[in-house]
Amino acid sequence: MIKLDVDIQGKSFSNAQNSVLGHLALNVARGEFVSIVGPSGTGKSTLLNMIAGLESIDCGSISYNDQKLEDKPACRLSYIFQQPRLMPWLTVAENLRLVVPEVADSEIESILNKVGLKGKSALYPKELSGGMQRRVSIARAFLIRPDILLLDEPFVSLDEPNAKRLRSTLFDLWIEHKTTVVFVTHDLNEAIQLSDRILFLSSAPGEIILDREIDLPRPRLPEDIHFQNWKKQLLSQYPKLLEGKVKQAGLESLFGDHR
Amino acid sequence: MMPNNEVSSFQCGVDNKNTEPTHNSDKRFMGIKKQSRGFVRGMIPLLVILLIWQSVSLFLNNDNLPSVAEVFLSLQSQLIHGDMLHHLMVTLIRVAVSFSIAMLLGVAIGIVMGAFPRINEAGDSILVIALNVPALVTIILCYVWFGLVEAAAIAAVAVNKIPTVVVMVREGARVIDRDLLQVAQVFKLSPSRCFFKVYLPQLYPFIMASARSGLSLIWKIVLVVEMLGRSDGVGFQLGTFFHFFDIAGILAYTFAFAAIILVIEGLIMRPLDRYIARGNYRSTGGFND
Repeated sequence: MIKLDVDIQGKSFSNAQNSVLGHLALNVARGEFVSIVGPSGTGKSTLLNMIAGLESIDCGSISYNDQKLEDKPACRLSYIFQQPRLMPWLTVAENLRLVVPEVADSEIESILNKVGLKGKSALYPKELSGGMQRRVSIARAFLIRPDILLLDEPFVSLDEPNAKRLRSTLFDLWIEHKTTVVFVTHDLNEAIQLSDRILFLSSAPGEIILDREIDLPRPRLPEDIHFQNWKKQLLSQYPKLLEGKVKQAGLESLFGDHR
Repeated sequence: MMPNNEVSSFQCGVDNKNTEPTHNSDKRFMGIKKQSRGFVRGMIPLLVILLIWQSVSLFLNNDNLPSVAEVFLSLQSQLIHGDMLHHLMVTLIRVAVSFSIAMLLGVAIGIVMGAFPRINEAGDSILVIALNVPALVTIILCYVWFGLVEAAAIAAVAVNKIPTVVVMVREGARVIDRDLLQVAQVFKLSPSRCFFKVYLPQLYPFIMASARSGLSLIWKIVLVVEMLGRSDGVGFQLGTFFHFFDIAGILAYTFAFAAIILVIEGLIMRPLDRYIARGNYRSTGGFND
């Protein structure tokens, strides 16, 4: 497993007038599940892309186990994108074998079984529903036994029953693999349900305005009164936090009662 | 008591299980039936044209328009007593070699031009000129510069076809899905694996389109090349028939070669097209959405 340290001074794109990300420092412990929540356009996906090495780091550094990203540390990284990004010309099994060529058929069947796609290995992505395609992308992500897993709103635009099933699949696989996870989402329920810690980003340029540990016992059900209180407090304060009216210290006391 | 809908869904499940092989064979039978119908539909216009041709030639009774029967007699005689098979084979080899060279070079140049905008800018004007140089000019220049040899003939044909392949593949390389390449990057695929499994399949529809158009263009150019500077092949034979005003012979060779092209289309191009269309990836570029 991998410890992740991010210290970015800012990120801007040549075609954008302002910076997408401001100063951003975060540490993710080995096997920790961290969610990042924030308004649109605050650089959440950019941050994930930088961690994955898909975007350059203008100023700052990202390290896996104290080894800088530019030194190409030995680390198995998986990324579940907003869209499943499966190769349409490959079957489900071929899509999985693409990332781990030497994988045995039995292992493919086993991981497909875990994500609820038993017997679908010979189908092409076009023959699967949107939810099933996302399941394949989850299977692909876990097949490489990742040290670190990045998720960029993987359940967005899914109907709630499907999203619920996929959340549970993701959680089970995380428990089994104990991977370090960075999870970007807009859905606070999802973040509270799954994470060890939630980071809240400000409006662009994105900076961490709140770093909250969630110590509600698992399984966390949205119907549970503590869960709801936690969420209610957060929802009532987050807009003020975004406007800079409430300091993090103030919020600490607000959440204290519901731990 | 089981509710009605449960009973029916249960029965459906059992029925489906038992009838699966029958269902599959039915599907195969339907497929063959559909193909046969397609073949018959494709043959009808051809038969109508032959019928009209036969009637007109009988009506005109002119040597310049031999009847269908005369052409088929000439075809039979060329096949049995002449050396039609030899000439067809020679032409086919020339087509195959020049087609392979044109596709390999065209695809490689197209990928480079599509992937690197600066190289594309530098090479674009040359490409436009190459596209518009008449085939005859290239053929004459190749024969003048390299002599009346096989290599010059092959080079002349390949040079004529390469620019069109480059243009089509370059357009494909420009619209490559970067998101899929990011998947390859994240999962640390080797460069060759990334190229053959992620990059190249996205170009297959464009390569297929250029291969299809290329085949039809190349065999026409090969005939001109053979007529101008070779002593064998279909083109050479057509030139000889032209000197003797043997229209039946010309048409017999045309039919024979057209038949071979149809066989190539059926045995190579269509199966390739089906392979590329797996996963509903259209051969004309992009997905069926």
